[in-house]
Amino acid sequence: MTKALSKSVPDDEVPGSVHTAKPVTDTSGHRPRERHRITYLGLILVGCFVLVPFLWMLIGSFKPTNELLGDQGKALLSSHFTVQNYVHLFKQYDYARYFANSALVAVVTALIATSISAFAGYALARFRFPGRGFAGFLILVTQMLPLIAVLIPLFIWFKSFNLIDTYSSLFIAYNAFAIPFSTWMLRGFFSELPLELEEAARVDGAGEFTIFFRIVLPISATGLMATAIFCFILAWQEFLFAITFISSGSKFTLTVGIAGMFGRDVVDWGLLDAGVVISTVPLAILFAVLQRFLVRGLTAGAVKG
Amino acid sequence: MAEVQYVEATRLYPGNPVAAVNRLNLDVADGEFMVLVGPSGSGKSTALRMLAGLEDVNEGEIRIGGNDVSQKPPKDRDIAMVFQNYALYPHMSVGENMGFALKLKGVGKEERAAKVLAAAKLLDLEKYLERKPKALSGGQRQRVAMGRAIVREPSVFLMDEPLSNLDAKLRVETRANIAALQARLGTTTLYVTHDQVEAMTMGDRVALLKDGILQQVDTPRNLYDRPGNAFVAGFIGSPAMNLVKVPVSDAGAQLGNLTVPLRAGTAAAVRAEGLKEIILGVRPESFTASESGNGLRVKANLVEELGADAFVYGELPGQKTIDTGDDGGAKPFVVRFDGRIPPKIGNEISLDVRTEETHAFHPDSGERIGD
Repeated sequence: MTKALSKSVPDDEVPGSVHTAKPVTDTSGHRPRERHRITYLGLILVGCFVLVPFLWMLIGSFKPTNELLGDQGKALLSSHFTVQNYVHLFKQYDYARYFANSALVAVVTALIATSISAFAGYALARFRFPGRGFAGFLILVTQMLPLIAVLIPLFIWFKSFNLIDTYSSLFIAYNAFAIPFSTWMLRGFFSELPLELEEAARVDGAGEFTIFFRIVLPISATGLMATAIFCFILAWQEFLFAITFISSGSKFTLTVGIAGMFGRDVVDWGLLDAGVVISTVPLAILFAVLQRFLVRGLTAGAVKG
Repeated sequence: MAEVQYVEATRLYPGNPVAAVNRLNLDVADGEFMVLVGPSGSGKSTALRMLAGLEDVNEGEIRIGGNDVSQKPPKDRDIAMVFQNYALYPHMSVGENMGFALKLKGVGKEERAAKVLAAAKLLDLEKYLERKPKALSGGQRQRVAMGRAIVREPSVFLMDEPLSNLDAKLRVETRANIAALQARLGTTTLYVTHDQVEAMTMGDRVALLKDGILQQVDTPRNLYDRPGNAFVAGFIGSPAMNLVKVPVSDAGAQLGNLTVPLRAGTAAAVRAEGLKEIILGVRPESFTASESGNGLRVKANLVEELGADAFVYGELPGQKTIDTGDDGGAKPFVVRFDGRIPPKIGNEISLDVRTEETHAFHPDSGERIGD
């Protein structure tokens, strides 16, 4: 998640913030341009720093593993270009299955968490009720617990409910972590919306549900999208719960599947690279398509978050 | 069509002992255009929102058409509101914006379209019905907001500073259009503004509020000619009335070097109360250049030439002009001159006062004294 975020945010945000933070007062015409150059140079360096590991991974996935381990491994381009790693990935392992499992878990988490936290976030943003402040506080507190702290209790619970080795265990566990954060995020987003719109709808004769479904949700597409992406990523890259609660190979998610590729004696780096490349592709596409929403959604939520 | 009544209506915000709207009593007749005006924080918007059902009525009640609506939700009050920022639904087209309330009411598609079209014609919006609000200019958005209210044919229109986001020229145009439209539709209207020019030009009557308390309700003419207290006197009119605390004797009020005789009714009231001082109010246009040269002497510190008029800002030796606004600082003494013969800056001018146009207020309470 962090990798992906740091990749997309600087591109969009840094030039903008430089413009606004330092209004151009110099009228000679040279310095602003120079400043731009320095900004872009900095951005390119940061971009390289972030992107090179991805590039290395991509190149590695097309090299035979024996070459990766030898001197050739240091070369940028392979002398024996091969797609063998990808073929192995799907032949030796049930990689398509892992991929589908991850997609299932991530999509379900994104849908459920976003739906529930849209209601919760709206309630926290707009309604006055006893315990409102405390509810908000509790939601924050859950974010302070490290996953590992709740791992064993959750395992015991799930065991007593016969949920171990089911998708449901992951749906529940991921939503338990995704909902509080996305509630907080959407609460921030909703409280930034102009109240007048909801008042206008109220005067127009709308009840609370009509206001929520016909006014608030349609104008919150960016916030909802950003929240859904966040939840998707949270579930997509999660490892600890997945390896603890899931035992049968047919239910493995990508992270667990990739971890399984580390042999006891040998690590097939080429194979591993190929696996990671494939697991990154959906995120890269997601970001490329929805980047606009994400940056706006995150900042909209962040101002008062 | 309905009349609106505020009966001892009070709005208290939790944790604040001072009422935002304090025991407001106000009757608005059927079809009347009532303007609520006052400085910021006066409670005028709160009063309007109480009528809309967007703010609670903590004490007293508000009646529309004789029925107490204080505890009813906005949708059961048969009102339509125009908001300061228009509050158009950004994801709906102009037509959908205007028809939204009817849709919620369950009005059929064809009837709805017909009503929206009729309102759009009235406001010159037919061409824009398919557009989204963001593709409209400020003036057009304002008209859509009006249209959304008109389509519903409510018993009361509520307007909360609907012109404050328009540029000056458009504001003057729209001001006239709204007044004409209201006259034509004959719908009872409550209109909130902080702009006293809007208040004076649009309202059948004007209610002036300050700190949540109603100061005076009257026609614009009467508000101008017979302000009920010093605050009203200072708020209505631009430039504001000169209000000066002056000593009184049997001969009259001592304004600078000039003794201004009080009108009979005022003089009698001053004597009856045994007052030694009053607040004397004289509007800038109630002065004329003295031909004898024995008039009120004022030093011209600044001259503003506006074409037809010239406003002279000066000072009275030894006396201070009271500012009834919140800042309480000293204000210059203002005199209107004919724009073609303005005095020179730095010169001393001599003025006669039209006695019948002076106002007297109590030095402590600020209430009007006499007639």
